Amino acid sequence: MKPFKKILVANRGEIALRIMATCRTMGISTVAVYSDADLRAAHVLAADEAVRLGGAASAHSYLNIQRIIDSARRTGADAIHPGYGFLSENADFAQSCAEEGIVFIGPSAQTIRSMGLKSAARRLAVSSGVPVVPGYDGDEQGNDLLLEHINKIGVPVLIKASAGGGGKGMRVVRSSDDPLEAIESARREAEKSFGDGRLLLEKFIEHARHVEIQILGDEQGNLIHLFERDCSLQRRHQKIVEESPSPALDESLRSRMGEAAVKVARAIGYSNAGTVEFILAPSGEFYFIEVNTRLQVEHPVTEMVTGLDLVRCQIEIAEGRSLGITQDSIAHRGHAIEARLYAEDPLNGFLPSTGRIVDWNIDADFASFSPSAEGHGLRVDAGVTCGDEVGIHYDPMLAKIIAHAGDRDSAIRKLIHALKHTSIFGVRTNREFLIALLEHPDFIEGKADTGFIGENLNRLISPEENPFDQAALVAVALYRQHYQRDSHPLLRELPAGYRNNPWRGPRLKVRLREKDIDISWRNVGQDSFQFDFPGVTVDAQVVFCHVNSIGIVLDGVFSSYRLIADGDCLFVHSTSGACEIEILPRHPVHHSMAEEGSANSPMPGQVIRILVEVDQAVSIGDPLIVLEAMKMEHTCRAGVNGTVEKIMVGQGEVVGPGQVLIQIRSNED
Amino acid sequence: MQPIKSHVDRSSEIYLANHSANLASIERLRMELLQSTLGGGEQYVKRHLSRGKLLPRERIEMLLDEGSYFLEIAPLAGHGMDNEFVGAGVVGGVGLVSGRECLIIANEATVKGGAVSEIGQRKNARLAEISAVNHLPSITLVESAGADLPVQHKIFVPGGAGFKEITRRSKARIPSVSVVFGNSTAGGAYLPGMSDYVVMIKRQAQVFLGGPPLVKMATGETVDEESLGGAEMHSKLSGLSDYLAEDELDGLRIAREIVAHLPAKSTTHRERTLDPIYPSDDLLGIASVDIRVPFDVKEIIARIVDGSMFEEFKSVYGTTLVTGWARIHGNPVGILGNNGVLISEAAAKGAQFIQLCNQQNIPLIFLQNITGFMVGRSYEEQGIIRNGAKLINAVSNSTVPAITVMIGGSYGAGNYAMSGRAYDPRFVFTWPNHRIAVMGGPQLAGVMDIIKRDAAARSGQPVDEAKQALMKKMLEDQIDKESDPYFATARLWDDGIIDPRDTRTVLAIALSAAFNRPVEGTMEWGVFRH
Repeated sequence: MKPFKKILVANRGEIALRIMATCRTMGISTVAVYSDADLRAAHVLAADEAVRLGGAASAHSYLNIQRIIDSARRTGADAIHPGYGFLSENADFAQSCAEEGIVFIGPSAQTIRSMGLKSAARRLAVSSGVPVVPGYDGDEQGNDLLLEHINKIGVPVLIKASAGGGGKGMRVVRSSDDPLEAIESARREAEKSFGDGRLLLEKFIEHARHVEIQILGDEQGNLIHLFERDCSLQRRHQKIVEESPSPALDESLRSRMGEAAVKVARAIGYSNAGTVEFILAPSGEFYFIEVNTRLQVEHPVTEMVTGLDLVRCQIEIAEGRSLGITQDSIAHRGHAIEARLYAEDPLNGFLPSTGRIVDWNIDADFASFSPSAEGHGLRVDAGVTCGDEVGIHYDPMLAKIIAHAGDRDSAIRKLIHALKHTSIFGVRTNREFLIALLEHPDFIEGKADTGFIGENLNRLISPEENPFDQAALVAVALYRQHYQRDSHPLLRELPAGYRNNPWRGPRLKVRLREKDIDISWRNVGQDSFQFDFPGVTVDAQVVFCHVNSIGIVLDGVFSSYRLIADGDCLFVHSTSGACEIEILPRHPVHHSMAEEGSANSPMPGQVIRILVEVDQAVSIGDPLIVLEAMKMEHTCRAGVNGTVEKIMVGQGEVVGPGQVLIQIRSNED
Repeated sequence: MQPIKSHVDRSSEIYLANHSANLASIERLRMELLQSTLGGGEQYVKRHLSRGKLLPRERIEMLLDEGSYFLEIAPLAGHGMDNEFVGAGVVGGVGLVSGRECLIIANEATVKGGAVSEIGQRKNARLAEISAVNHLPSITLVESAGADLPVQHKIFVPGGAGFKEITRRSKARIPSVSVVFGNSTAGGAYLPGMSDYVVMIKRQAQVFLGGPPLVKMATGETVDEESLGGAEMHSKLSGLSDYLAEDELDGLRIAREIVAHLPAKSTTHRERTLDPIYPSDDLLGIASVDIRVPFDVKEIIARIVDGSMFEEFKSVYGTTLVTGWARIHGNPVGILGNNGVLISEAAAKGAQFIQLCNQQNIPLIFLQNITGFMVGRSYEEQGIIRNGAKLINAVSNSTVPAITVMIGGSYGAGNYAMSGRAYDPRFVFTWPNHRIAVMGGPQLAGVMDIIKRDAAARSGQPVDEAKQALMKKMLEDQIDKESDPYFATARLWDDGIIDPRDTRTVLAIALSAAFNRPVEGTMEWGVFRH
């Protein structure tokens, strides 16, 4: 056994910070690696040393095995922790580490390799007596053959990347879908993400839950499980909320699944931390899916209920120590639940959202990266903070918020409360979507399966008319009025908008949730105002107005609002809601009319395919161009019938939001 | 400096009586002001709006900075006068545009097509004067049919000065911007013609010396209005327009940009100022509705100046005139306020105080509540005229900005000595309770009564007591009516009647406007009669 003095963390974002936090508590020095886009990122600043890898693209940086190993050598790191994603399940990387005499914190290269190929993993499960989902996992990957298997298994069928995880390259083919298109795009994504385009097919089980078992094994052959995590709340196979224990498991099922997981792990002599994923059918039958040979994003849930520091366990195992804990000594305490905050816009098809974070205000009671979440049972694992740029290159997950309490209802309540007190501005986030999800009765009753989000999407992203909006409009109007007066070079203490001959009150044109709104109000006394909204008059009294907040009594009820300005936008947050209000120009500037029918980029991203040529006729809805941002593909489609006049971008080009990609000459007048 | 100690008893009968009467006056003021905002009446307003045009007041709102004040000048000009609308067809005042204090004038296009009436012309001249004397850039929002033809004899000759004044201001580096929203024809065409910057609104502006009918008559040429004097023609061909605006809001945006490139007034950053420690609402209980009942002007000052702090000068000498220094929204001022009839000592003290303020470039605030100079043998012997002349000399030759507020009576030579309109204060505002005349109605009627009786006695005619009483009553009524603040403000004797509670705000705006011109007090005076 050789204790590590220095660990290189081959990752970025919150997981890099998470690993470094444990290293610090163990007295181990840390080395960060970074891409050019991450020079000023939090993980670089948090490490004792940091080594530049290369360009922003993952392939040139966080996926560059040679550079990372060189970095470890240069800095004299004893071990490398790969985190999750990137090279964490890359057997070649683990192999290279071993060859260089650097300890890879994770299972052996061979384990990774065998588990990484899902077909091999399935065979192993079958041979261990653990059931698997019917499917195809052959090496032959011809389109015709795959199509044939899809027919054989019968839709719905799940297409997955053999080499991958995390939802990348996954597709569900239903009877209405074009299976060929699904195969091809899944293959493309798989190649892009894992450098391996092989796919596997699986029967898609309706109303299934995703339940996974955390396992921990040492090099001495001790192997235990740390109970389950229920990750059924997924959107397009991307986990969003995870919890332990699962509301769908009873003690007997729990121990059967745990034993099954251990069985599979034992069959390959698994060491270090891993996760065995199962599909749980409503009947109680469960099927092995795969083994994730790494630390999971959602590992804090297990840490909160077991009190273990999984990163510490990983490091100690890698150092060659024996586990020192037995299955019987692990107690499951209370209930933990995690929500993932993503930089994405639920109202805009969950497109990744990029930008600079101008507000990052999470309840001060949170413990960061602390497995035990001392005190309030709240923990936040965040990879960004105020002022950080969220770019197009990496995963859009901003943070994980984890709540722990004695029972499930209390933990959910605590998590909702924490989310409501969280204020983020600069990028759109799924914060309100998460709250809607957690407040949904089906979820609270533990009935939400993996299809739940897809089935309830519309209700979850467009909750009924929000009374908060009106308050936010008042807050914005009064806040702006206050600071406008304050910014006047002259006479800033005059009553706002003084008129010796009053005619009309102030007005403000704003856009809120895609709607243009005229706000009008009048001064009715010292700090007192009356707002006219359609069909209702609202009395407002300003109690205080500070740099980033305003306190207002609205029709007799006091609330304070957090306000953050960014250019023409004001972000308003209170515990009853949040919204972004764009101040529209009082005097619109007349531009020459934009070319009609041009396809504009809806988001920043990279052009990965151009599907049309100049002079090609297109109809509304035809795919024109495929963009990729944050590893998600987005197809831009024609908005008019016409002819392609000009293609304004090239393959591989990085484009900004609103940029004209393709000009179409409309057929219509 | 110490705050003024107030002795106002808010539960006293007189306070309560004044308060309720003044509130009623303010309510009347509010109603009269409302009239001034109605333009030429519902029908014309509707027609204007149906053409997709903004009302002049809306144009001003959209020209001003968001949250800016707007101190409207003489909103009740023409009130109660024949052939005049309330406001005299012009809206004008001082407000912030792109952070700069500007003088804004908008033709009220719904009143006789924006034609200029007699009072309208005088109001235009007054607004131009405010721009000139305070060095305020002017922005004129033009939509005017020109002179109100039936009364051309009252405006044609003096009206010409307006164009002269624009170019003289230009020479004095006080820029003028014209935004043409509609008609600006004949002589009116020189309004944009003389301006430094001209913005014309597409498909709205019409600027020509002679319209199509006149051209047809004069030369036989047939031409439509748009090609004769439209915005596009003037922007692309004649060069009279410097900026072609797509629509009204675009024109206002351009005007704001023009102002934005003008150098900003240099201001030293001031710390937050203290509000007066007494509520402004007290002013309504203090200011006498019956102007014969005196009130302490220091109680007024205490509710106008920063922190109610007042450094009184010569507090125990010539006490019928209160003099001293204070600040209003941070600006230092010298205040002169009447506490009774002017006597020799008070007048001499006032002259000295004005000299001191000039020496240190401190603006003056006059709070007028004055029945005049003291009369009577002993006062004449003490040289009340000689001492009054000192004060008038000082007021006349003072070069620091002066702002006058008439808070009660404004009678006789007191009006002059306390910087009445004729003495060119930068601004004059009045309270609704104020009265202005050479003397009070009863006094004037009484004087006339005595004179007539003396004349009758000299010629040995008997006095017809009934007729004499009737005459006296009629004269008294006439003087009373003519002393009314609405009669005065209608004729531009002042820049507007204000709510007394707004006095501090109005003074702050006016002072700040005045500071756009460097404050340079004089040390040169006429010969003081010592």
